[in-house]
Amino acid sequence: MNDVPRGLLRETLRGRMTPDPAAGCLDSEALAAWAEGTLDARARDAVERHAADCARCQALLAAMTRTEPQPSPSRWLRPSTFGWLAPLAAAAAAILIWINLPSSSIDRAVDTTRVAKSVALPRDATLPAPAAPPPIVTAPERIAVAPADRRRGGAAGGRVAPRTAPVPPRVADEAIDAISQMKDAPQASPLAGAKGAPAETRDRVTGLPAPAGAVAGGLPRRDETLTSASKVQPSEKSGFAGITADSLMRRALVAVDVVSPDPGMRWRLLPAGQVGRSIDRGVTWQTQSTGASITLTAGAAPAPTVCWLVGPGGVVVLTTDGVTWQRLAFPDASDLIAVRATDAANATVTTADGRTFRTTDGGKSWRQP
Amino acid sequence: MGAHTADLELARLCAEGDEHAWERFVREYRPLLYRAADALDTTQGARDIADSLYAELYGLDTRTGTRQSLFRYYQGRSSLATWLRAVLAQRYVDRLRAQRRVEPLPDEEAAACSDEPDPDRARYAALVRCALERALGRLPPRDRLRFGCYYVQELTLVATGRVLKESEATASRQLARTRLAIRRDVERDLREESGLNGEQIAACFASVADDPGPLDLKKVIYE
Repeated sequence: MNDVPRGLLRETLRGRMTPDPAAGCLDSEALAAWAEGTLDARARDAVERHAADCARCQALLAAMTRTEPQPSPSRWLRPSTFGWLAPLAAAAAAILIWINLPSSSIDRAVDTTRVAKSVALPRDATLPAPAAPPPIVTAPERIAVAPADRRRGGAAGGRVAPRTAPVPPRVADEAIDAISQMKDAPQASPLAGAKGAPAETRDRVTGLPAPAGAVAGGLPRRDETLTSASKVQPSEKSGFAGITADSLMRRALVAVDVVSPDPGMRWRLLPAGQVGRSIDRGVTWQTQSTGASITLTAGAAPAPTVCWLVGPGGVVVLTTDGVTWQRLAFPDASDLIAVRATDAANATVTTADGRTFRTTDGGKSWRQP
Repeated sequence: MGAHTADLELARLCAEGDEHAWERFVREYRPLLYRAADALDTTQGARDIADSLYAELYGLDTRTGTRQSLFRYYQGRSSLATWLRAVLAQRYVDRLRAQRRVEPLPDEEAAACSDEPDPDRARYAALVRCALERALGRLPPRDRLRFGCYYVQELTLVATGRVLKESEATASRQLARTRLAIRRDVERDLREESGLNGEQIAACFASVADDPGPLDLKKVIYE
């Protein structure tokens, strides 16, 4: 035997703790200050020394930690966080490409069709169903090994799955959705396209569900230029040639599009709660007001005239006729970062902290799975 | 404190009975309190504590003719949200401790106490326990706190690390290191203080490893 039995260890630890509150026990103010890390080093040390042997205060620290809001990695992935990077990244890419382009390429006038050809991004507004089940993302390996009775996981409290347990597919899916949305910022698209990463492939990687249009957010390949690209065969000059800084910049600034199963029908998220609607594959746009006053972040269009949009502060809006928008009551004021929908009644939205809410009655009621 | 002036103002208005402030407070903080309550008890058993907090925060005590709101204890050393979590955590822990005090001992506990087949084994177990208590007492408080969070409070490695403001990996390493140190310390203690030889020490550990039940149940001290 190489270790002290856990049960014995636990009982002995318990046995030596002060069972009743004593001088120096934490009050609410001190506990809250401890939780926020605003105690100075000396006070913090005093808290640790006290809680090491005080059953109640140790339980308090544990309870406080359990109630701590989960660190939300997805916060970093929110479009609002990285949105400002889009033009910068595109500009940097454009400069690099410009520098590396042969002068003859630069001198050539390039029309949009040619740009599209050279980018050679396959696009289809209707995403193909994944050939295989969505991939299961596993938790990253940890570098340290816990004792034999190890517990781990990101949950604030309670026992959690063993280290090899996969992240629940739902959570993984939603996280991937969030990543996809960040990728919606088109700074990634020129390079992805130039490297020949087919849009289809990327969608398979994300493991998005089959329903057409039921995709959170729009992908950059859906802008008008890229739409036309799918109609032509890949150019013999595919790759970087033909891409201009202007085209990159233009695409970098393209808003998020939400495409319905009918590729002709699509929505584009605009600032301040407005949305553009196109019925001609994005050639012309008509601005609509959703009634929300903030910029929406993601959407899903499961049918040509049905579109769900979500945004910060628990904003969910829905149109079922493609013209008028209805703000739906939502039970949580969290920022919403993704939505999936199969029709006008069924949708699942994801909050920035990874929770999901589902409705099966067109947003009249929501429940957490 | 300056960073929480808005929270302080909201608390002050609520304490004074400002209805608009109270409505805003309920709207903004109820989800937070419920989330915290559910984190403490996933069966939603702690929600009643959260609900009862509202009464105290609103200040129903009018015995003196004045509103006595819990908000008056909020001094702005943290955000209002964190303070509310702290109050909720206190109520929850205190209720749990009170419940455990009145819970009867399980039947099997008495049986385990009364039946000790091997006198050597009982002696060895007692020696290990004493040595272990001394070893734990010699640990730095921070190591003891880490141990307590992990083994007694049953926090995850991640949460244990958060209490100690260290990473999950560090918490794991430190726990493993401390366990090894304790094991060596107990062995040394058994050898030097109790005069046991290697074989007896091995028997000591074997006795508690084979049947830790009586040791776990003999002494219900906690809380």
